[in-house]
Amino acid sequence: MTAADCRSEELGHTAEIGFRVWAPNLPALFTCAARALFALIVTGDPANGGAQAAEPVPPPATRRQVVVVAPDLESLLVEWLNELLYLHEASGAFMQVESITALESAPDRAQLEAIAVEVPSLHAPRLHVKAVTYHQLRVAPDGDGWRAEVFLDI
Amino acid sequence: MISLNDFKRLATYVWELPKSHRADMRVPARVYASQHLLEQALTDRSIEQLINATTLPGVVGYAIAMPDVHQGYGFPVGGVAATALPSGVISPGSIGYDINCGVRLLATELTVEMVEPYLNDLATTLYRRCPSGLGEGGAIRLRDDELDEVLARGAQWCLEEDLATAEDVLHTEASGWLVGADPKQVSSRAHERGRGQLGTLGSGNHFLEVDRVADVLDEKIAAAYGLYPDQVVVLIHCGSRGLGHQVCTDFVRDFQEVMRRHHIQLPDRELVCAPLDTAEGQAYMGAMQAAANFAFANRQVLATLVRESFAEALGPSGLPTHLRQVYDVAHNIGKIEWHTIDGRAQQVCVHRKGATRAFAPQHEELPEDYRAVGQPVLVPGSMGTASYVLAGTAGAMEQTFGSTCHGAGRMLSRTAAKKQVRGEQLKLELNQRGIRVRAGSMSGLAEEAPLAYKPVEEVISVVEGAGIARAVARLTPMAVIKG
Repeated sequence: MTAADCRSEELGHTAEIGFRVWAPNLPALFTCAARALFALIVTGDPANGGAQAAEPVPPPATRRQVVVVAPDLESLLVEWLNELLYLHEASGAFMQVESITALESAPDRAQLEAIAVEVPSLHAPRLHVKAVTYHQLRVAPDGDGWRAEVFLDI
Repeated sequence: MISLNDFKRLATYVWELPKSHRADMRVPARVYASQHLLEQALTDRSIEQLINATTLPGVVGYAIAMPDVHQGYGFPVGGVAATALPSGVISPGSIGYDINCGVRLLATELTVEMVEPYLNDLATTLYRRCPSGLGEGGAIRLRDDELDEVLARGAQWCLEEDLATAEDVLHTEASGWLVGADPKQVSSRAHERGRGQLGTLGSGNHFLEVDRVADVLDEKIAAAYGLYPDQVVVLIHCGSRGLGHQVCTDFVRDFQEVMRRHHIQLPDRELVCAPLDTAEGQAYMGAMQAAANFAFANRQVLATLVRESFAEALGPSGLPTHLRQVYDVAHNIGKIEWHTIDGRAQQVCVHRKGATRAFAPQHEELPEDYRAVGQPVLVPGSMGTASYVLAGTAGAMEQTFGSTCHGAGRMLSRTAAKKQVRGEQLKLELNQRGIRVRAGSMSGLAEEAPLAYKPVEEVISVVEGAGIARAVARLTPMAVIKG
C-alpha cells in the first residue's frame, strides 16, 4: 500500500494536534495512522527519511518486528503509535511500515504484528511528539472502510 | 453546550458550576476568570474537561480552572483537583506528560545598561552552551546507576556533584528532592529516553530568557526575593523531557486495565487513575516523583550552564557574573499536602496541571528567608511579552489548594498561529524591539507567537483580584533562546 491509498486530515486543538485517517480495512488503517504520525514529525516524505526533491533517498536500515497487545482496538492503535514513536526517539530514524502481518481483535484482547523499517533521517524532525494519547480516541467503521481519530501531546 | 448562564458568579473573578450541572459530578467546578476569559474558555473543551475532572473518585472541595486555562487531553491545562487520602485516586493524565514542567528564576547583580553592550554575545553563548531543540542531547551522559541517583534524589544529587549550591537547593520547591521517588518504577524505556537528556531545554514552548525587571509591583516582597528595578534576571522553562513523557505513557496505558479492576468509570480515557492506597497508585506515585526529581536536576544543570555562559560572555569585561537562584517551581505535578476543606484539615493529593503551587507566608515548607512574604510563583508570559513574579497568599491556601496560574494560556492552535505569522518575520519584529532571538526552528518560533496566547496581564489581574497570588515584579525579555 502506498501513501496515495491513505486519506487523512489534521484535527484542531488549542495546544496539541490530532489527525483523522480513513482506510479500506483495519491493517490499512493502522498503516495510514503511522504515516499520518510521521508526516507531522518530518518535513518531506518520512518513507524517504524526509528527503526533499533532488535529495538522494537513504537506504532503509534495520527491519524490526513489532508486536503490540492491548485490551481493545482503540488501545491497540495508541500502543502501536507509541511503539513507533519510541523506536523513532531511540534510533533517531523514521519508522516506515513495511507490512502488517497480523491484526486480531476480540472483545477483550487485540493484537498486531508488523514489520517496520527504520529509515535514517536526512533532516531534524520538525515536531516533537511527546506521546500518543487516549483523548477523544476513536476507531470505528466508516461506510465500507474504517476511520480513526487520534490526538498527540506535543 | 455549556454557557455563561450555567455559572453562578460567586465573586468578581470566581464562577461556579454546581454539582447538579451533570449527573456524574462529585463536586462543583470553579473557574477563576474575568467574564472575558471565561467566555474565551467556553470556546474550546476546557470547561467540559474541568467537569470531567470533578468525576475523579475521592475528589474533594471543587475542581478548579485558572484564568489561563485551555483544553488539554482529559484534564484541562490550567486545572487543579485534590483527591483525599487514603483511597482517593491519582491520575497521571491530570498531571501531564511533561512531569514537573516548571520554571526557574536566576538573578544577576547586573543592570540592563551593564549587560546591553554584551547582549549579542551572551545570547549566542547561551544558545551554544544550553542544548535546545529536537533530539539535542545534554552535556552529561549518565550511567544507569547515576541516572537512578538523579531519579532518587533530584537536586540533592546535583549538590553532591558540585552542580548546585546549597542556596539553589533551598530555593527550589521541595528542595528539588521528592523523597517518595522510586527509580525501580521507572521503566527501562523511560531510562533510555532520559539518559542523555539531563541539562537540555527541549522544544515546543520551552525556553530560556534573559529578562529585565521592568517594574517592581510590591517593594517589600521584591526586596525579600532580591529583585530590584532594571536588574537583569534569567528564566528557564522546561521539564522532565522524554523520561517524564515515557513515565506518563506507561502508566496511562497500565491504568486502563487497573480502572476496570477497580470498577472505576470516567468520561475520558485520558483521565485514567488508580486509588492512592493500591500498589498501582503507589507505583505511579514513585515513578512520577522520580521523573519530577529528574526535572529538578535538569533545570539545575541548565542553571549551571547559564552561569558558565555568563562567565564566558561577561567575565572578561570584569563584570560580576554571579547568578543567585530566586526560586524554582513546578507547574505539572501531583503533591501530597495538607489543606483545610470544609473547616477540616485533610491530607490530599493535589493534581496541578498547568497550575503553580502558591504557598502563603508562614507556610512551614518555605525557606526561612521567604517565610515572611510567601512563596515565589514564576509565571512566564508568551514569547516577547512580559513574565511575572508573584507571591503565594493566604487566599490561595483557602480557595485553591495553595495554587495559582502558570502562564498566559494558549488561545490559538499551533497550526493557526503558523498561518498568521512567519517565524522569520516574528524574529525580525522582536529584533526591532531590541530582543535578541536565538532559535533552532523558525516554524517552532511562529507556533509560540504572542498572538497565540491570552494577554498575560489579564490573567495576572484575575489572580490578584481573586486573592490567589500577589504581583511582585514584571519582567520583560532582552534575549530569548529556544529550540
